[in-house]
Amino acid sequence: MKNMKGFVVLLATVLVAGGVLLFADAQLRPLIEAAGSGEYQEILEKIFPDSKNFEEEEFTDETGLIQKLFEDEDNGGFVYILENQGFADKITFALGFDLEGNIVGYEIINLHDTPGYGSTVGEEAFVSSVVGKTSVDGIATISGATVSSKAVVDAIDAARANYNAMMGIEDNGEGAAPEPVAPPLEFGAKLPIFREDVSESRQGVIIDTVEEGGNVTYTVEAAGYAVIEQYDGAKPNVVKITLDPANQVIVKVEVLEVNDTKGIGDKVLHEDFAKQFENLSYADPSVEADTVSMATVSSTSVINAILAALNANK
Amino acid sequence: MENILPILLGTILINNLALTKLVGLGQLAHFGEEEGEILCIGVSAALVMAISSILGYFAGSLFDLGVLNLLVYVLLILVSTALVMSGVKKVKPEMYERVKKVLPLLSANSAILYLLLMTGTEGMEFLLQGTVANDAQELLPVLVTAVGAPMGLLFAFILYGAVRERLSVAHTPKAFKGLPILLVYAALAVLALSGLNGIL
Amino acid sequence: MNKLNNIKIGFFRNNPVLSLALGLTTALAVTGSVTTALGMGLLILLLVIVAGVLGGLLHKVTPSEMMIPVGLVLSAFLAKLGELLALAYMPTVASEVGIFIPLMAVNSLILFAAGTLTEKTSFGESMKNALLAGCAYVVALLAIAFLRELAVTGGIALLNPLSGVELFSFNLIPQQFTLSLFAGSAGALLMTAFVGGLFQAIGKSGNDKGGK
Repeated sequence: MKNMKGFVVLLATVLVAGGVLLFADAQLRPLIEAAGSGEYQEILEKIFPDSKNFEEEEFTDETGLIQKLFEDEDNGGFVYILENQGFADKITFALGFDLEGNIVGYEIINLHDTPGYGSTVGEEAFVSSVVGKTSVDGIATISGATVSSKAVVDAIDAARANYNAMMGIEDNGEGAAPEPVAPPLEFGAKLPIFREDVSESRQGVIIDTVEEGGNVTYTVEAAGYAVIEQYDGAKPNVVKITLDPANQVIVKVEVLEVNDTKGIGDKVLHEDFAKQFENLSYADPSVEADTVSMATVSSTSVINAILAALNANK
Repeated sequence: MENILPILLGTILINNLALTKLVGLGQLAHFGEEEGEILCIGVSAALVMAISSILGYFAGSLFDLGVLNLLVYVLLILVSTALVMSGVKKVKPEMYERVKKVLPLLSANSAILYLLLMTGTEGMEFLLQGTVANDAQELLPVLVTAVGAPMGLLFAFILYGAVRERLSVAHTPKAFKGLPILLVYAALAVLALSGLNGIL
Repeated sequence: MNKLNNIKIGFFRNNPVLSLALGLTTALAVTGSVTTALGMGLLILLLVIVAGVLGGLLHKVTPSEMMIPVGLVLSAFLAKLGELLALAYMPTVASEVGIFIPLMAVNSLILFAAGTLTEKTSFGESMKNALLAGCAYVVALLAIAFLRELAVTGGIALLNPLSGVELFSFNLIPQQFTLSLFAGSAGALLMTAFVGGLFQAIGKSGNDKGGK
């Protein structure tokens, strides 16, 4: 009989406990809902500054990337709280849509990826590539920060799909994602082009000269990072420089080959680096060039190549 | 099912619930006086974890438990414990006599409930985070969770049993005798295991 | 858990979490900041008191073999109530503690307060133990959290757990000397060990002075 009593007590306890919990839940749920949006209130107001009342909404999402959905009760609009695994850590951000199908806000809540690489998903260039797009536009990932930016773009796609489904917008794939975009180049220190102290091993070596019209085009090899560090099988960097000697102007610089560290030295391949030399006058011997931040040696090798071309023309 | 060994090892060592995620330490600090008992308790704990995690997974996916989830999980753990206890009684009756007061308390093991709660909210894949295989097939996460995590718990029990044995004869500063020095050990274990992150 | 039967719980000697490992898992999770420790500590104290009352009542009608299952159902029930209350009244604290709130269902302190871990004692006796244990637990939580927050951020910023309004804050240690070690698991364990050692030392020295 004792055993039975025990089980009866257990059963009774379970039933009473369950009942009280269901009751308590019913009572407290409204409070919890209200408190829940409180956590995100600040972010929600950043995206919709004229609104104060946001209501959490239900949603179905198979991707698992949408964490919460809020509706702007005052002025209309939706904010998705999204989360996806980035490179080092989870990336959490808020994405705001207005009622016309435009993305009006993108705010990072949590981002701890590598500065200069994954962290670019929080920076101006990427943000401006997101805000202003419509719900049927694809967003480009950032080359060189693939894991982090793909995580964000995948989450944005999930939000867009949900938004389109909710608003009845057809996405016929016209706004397909453009090619990955290289992040803007960050420049580092300035380096004078004319220097006396370039060691022989680092000086540029001219391997080809072509004269055309009034211009001379030199193809120059210069030791880059790999050669200086004496890596196995290291090759120099190759640069093509076109000069207008009569006017003492560098017409154009083309970085043909960079054999330095992938992802670091090859940043000098970015068009913005060579662009600074377009129509640059070298009449003034103190003329300076910008090196690429974190890729100083490779940048210097290009500048050494330019120097060799200029010296050859004296 | 390639790479299953490193994944299992990863679950047992790196994502070890008791050792790195800090659940169930209270029980590890108290249970089992001698080797034989510790092994029995450890295996029982592992079995309870395995059984309850599978039951919990199905319960969670079949019903929307909502507010009652804790009640249901606790009941499932109690059932699993009862099952394991009767198993121990059949297989090793003498051992059973010695541990029968302690085994029921396995129902109160935080690690076991933690596993149930996590698989409830994040699905069976959560223990795979940080290891290989993001394109895992259906069976793999379940296998890893129901086998790997319990093995990790067993490992933790044995480890702590050995440590407590050593600590009881070591020269500990008076103020740290007992739980504090064990916690220092636990901290060192966490640091040591976190070093394995990324190696497997 | 026979050793818990006749032990005298105290603040410094036999502190429930620092010496007896009761509610250890929860303690490690909530001592990240003083605000969280305060909010959760008070919640746990409330649950402990209710556990003492309900547990005492249940103890009278439950045969001893069934005490563990019944006690567990009780603590699961209380943990869930606690979770609902936390989500409703202190959401920021709740989101920081996360999954460790429902984990209170197996919090050994609550189980102890409910009388699950010890043999039958009188209602008054078990209530007294529960209350004492609960208070000592909160004190320990605050001590650990205070030191951890100080070590990690260099100062303390105490917010009202319910409203988030800052009550006071101060900064003691300059940024360069902070140790983020104490924010993570290893650090939590170390700080708990340290405070435990400290408390036990205080407890023992009281003993030497002739007090008991």
